[in-house]
Amino acid sequence: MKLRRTNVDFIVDAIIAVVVGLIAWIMLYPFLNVVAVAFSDYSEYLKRPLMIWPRNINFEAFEYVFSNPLILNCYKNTVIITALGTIGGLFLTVVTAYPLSKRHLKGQKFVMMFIVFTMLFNGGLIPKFYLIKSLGMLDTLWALIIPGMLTSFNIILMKNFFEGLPKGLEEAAKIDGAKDIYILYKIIIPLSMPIIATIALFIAVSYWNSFFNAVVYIRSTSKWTLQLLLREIIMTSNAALLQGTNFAEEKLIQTQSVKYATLIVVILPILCLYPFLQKYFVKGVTLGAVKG
Amino acid sequence: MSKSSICSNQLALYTKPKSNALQSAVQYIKKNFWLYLLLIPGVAYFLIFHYAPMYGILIAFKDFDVVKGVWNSSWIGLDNFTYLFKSKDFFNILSNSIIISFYRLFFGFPAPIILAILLNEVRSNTYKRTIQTILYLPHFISWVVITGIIYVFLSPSTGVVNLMINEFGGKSIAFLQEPKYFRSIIVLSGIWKETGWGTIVYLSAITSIDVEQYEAAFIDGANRLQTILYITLPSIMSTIVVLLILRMGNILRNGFEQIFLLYNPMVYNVADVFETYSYRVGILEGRFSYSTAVGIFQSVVGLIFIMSSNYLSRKVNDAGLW
Amino acid sequence: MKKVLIGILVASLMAALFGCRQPNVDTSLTDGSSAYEFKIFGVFASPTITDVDSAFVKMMEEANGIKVNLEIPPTTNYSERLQIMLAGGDYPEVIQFVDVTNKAYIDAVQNGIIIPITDYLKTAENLNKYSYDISWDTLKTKDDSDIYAIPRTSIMRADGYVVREDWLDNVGLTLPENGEVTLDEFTEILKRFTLNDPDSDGKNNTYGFGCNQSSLGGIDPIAINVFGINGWQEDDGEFSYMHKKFDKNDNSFKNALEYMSSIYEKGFIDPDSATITRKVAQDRFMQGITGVLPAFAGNIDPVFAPTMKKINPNVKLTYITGIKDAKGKVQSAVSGTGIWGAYAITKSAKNPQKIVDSFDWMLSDEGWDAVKYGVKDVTYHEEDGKKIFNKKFEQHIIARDFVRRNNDSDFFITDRLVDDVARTTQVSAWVDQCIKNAIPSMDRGYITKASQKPEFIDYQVTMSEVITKIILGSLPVSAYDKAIDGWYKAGGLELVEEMNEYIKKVEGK
Repeated sequence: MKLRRTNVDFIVDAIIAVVVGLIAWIMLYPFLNVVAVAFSDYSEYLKRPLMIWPRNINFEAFEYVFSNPLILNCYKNTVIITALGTIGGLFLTVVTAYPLSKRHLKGQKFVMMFIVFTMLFNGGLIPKFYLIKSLGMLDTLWALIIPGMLTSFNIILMKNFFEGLPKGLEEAAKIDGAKDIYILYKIIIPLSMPIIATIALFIAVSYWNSFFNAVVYIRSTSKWTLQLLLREIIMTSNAALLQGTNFAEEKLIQTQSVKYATLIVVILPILCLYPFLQKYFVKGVTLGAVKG
Repeated sequence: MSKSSICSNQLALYTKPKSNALQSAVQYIKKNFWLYLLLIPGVAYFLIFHYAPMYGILIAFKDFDVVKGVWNSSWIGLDNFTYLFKSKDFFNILSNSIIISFYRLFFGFPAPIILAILLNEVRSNTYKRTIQTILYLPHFISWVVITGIIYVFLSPSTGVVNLMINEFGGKSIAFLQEPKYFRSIIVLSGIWKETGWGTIVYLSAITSIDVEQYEAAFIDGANRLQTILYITLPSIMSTIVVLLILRMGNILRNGFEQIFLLYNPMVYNVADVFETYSYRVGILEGRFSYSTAVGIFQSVVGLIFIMSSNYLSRKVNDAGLW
Repeated sequence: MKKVLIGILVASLMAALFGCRQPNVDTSLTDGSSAYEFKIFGVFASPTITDVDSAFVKMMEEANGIKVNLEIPPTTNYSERLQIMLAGGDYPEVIQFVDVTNKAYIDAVQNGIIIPITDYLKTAENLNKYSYDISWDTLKTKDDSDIYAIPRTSIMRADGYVVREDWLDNVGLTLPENGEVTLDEFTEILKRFTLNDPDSDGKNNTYGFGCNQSSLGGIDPIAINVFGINGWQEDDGEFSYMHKKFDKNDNSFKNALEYMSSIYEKGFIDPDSATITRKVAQDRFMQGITGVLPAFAGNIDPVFAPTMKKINPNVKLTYITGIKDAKGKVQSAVSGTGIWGAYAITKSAKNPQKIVDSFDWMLSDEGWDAVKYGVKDVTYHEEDGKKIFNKKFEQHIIARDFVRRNNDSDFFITDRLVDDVARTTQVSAWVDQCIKNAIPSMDRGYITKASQKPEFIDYQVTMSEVITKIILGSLPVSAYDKAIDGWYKAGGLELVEEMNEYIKKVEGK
């Protein structure tokens, strides 16, 4: 159904569009700057650090990044852990969140507390390392996939969404004698695409951005991830190696252009994920059928 | 609506004849067999990956020697905590942590909600999608890069902001060295980086609102503001409440990187928070025990806040984590 | 959606399978079964082992009958990896500690994970010849006669300042031949660089000196040697040995603060100094905002000049090797002990002698040549006994990070591809001068028990805060008196006493 628009509506629309557009420009700025610097000669950066348009365009920084023998391997590893982690994580989150969305279920409250507690307290680096070691996952990609799969935050978001779904269809199915697993698969999941897309994005991004597990559990450079490499390149100036006044090592610090180029190379693939999932947030679902 | 369904379920449950407690328990589990089965992998996961290593908390009460390990290091009791509470900086750090955190709560928490509602009001779908994609970009740019850009912006000698101030005849301000500006910079740059990302979860909640509701409201002659207040906002309220409660658990946490990368001795007295403090005194010097103790203090306070805000929320509008 | 997910699943499973089958990148090249194999865990400037590095490793393996595996952790998280490795129980044979004052190292020595190597060093003549004596003192970790690690020697230098020569020309100043200036001359340079429009663009947009945050976050006074502050030295006051910074009865440090805050007030120092990192300070020098920057002479041509010439072709750079003190001497204490971390051998090493010998080989004439220049016909070829370097020399990084001789300043000339003999000679002369100017601080990097107390560590921040505020003019210089009183109360007194005992003990021999 098309809604009729009045003049007032039109003005309000225009104002909203302008405000939102302005906010978007402010948010876009750092990214434009990063792109411009990455494609420019370092001397151009020094002349105009805040540029948003590349000058004296060259691809040296990118050539340097791709000449790194580790980068392709890092890409492969990151793609593997992100894909497997997202699929596994999504599955686990859905099956855990569904029973927890049943407030009447005995023990639900306890399990919720049990899960929230882990958001606040954790055993720290060394016990976790022992755990991974005893599971035989040390220096394998599994150590990067398994431990990050299920997070309390995602469970809570998903559970909250499930609770908000209309109960009609579910109850009708129950009366027909349908099992909970069937209801989840046939009714709940199709209705929950927005939250499933959201959680998929959250999990994928957290895998893509994670680096600390790789620091702790990975030994061979052949199993490094992209973020680890990115940090090596971006943060070298802060590294222990260069502490003190050993200026002689400074030539190994990368220029801004190289740092930014690496950043782009690392984040571009994950940025491309969003537009694909976006249709699940933009397009509203019609629940009419459910109610009828 | 949802309330009544729960009631009817419970009713069905309690009217069943029960011979004894065990039998009814078995009955109950049988009835909810699939639900419990589905819970098993998740619970097992948390047991293995979160609760099994939990003994690491003990190092807060020990003089941790990495070679001896957690169990064999010698006990020091509450020494670390006594030291923390007695430290001359403790109250300063506590108040900084709370103040910055509250600023973030007041300004940073509503920002994505407002932005998500605004986005929802944008008519053109293409425009909306483009804007959304742009909004979430800064989330992916690391703090090192963002703080680098902030320096260049605010530099007292070459920064754009100060060049503009000079243009209007003002004197350059060393923003990052001024205690009165520092917290605002922290909060604003946090909003700048994370607001767009924060809208995603609200947008997905908004998406599940039945379009028919808007249509009905339109027919009733509701204006824009009214539809926002009576349809959009109530529908995302439970998401807001849940995120707010979770946020309360982080009341003493402000993250490390952003503040660490921006602060300097001129603003220590307004900027030093638990994270930077425990980095300096703990990790930097290889004293894991102490930083663990600091972390436990933050968590205990967070737990108290989560529990009480959840309780309050349950009382007030029957929504919450559990 | 479903199809896409399934597609991803299949693709990633395949990738995982193939990924897992791929063998690890092996860093060693020889396959001799008789070779003694050991692993070195160490942080190097690059995590990737290039074929240039492999060539060096191979040469070392063949010369010593060994097989070396390198494990290189991410530099940014070296300390976490070290902790985990020590906690994990399976130690590599050799661990490189970036900092031998670190608790992890001391714990490892105390718990017997690291073995004493005194006996194995007896035959290691090159290690003994090319390391500083005080380095060995530092590595007697248990304070007895046993040595616990092989020093990773770094030549002690008191670096000076890189200066815009074209600016000097514009403001009518020249530097003396040896690059040494007096404090007045130095101040005059900063003054004219700030006030006399050295870049002749008609704008008042330049500053004399570029400073940056220290590791504690604050900024420190410069040219402190001029005021007589040279680390721990003999003293005729209350204590036999004293660091002038901590001497309550001496005004040296306050004088240094006075000078620093006066030039800051006059605007001769970059006003951004207190909020920027070293890298940004470097950028600002290269942008032509500052004209004098602390730097290593060997970096002028490879690091600064090429980019600066792109921005402004007229850029010329020269070097101040040091600032003369009241006696006309340029002497500056280096807080270091001539080492830059150390290699410790763990109890899992079956043949420690072989390991020590391999490190000794790297400092032998043959080994050192390869460390310094790379392997023949990889990074260079010889023509009439002269080394002609190629582009690959730039990838020669890991070997150069391994060890250093304490007397070879030529090592630091990394710009082997340039032909400008006169300039290279000039740079070498600057580097040599900086090495001559360095005097060791008598503390030998010794870490007192007092300085490990949380209260004392806490107080370091207060010190840094007070010093920065004095320099920036928001506190008077006299505030330092109160700060140093607090320092003594926070554990400084114990530190000074302990340090005196330690220095007496090692000097007494």
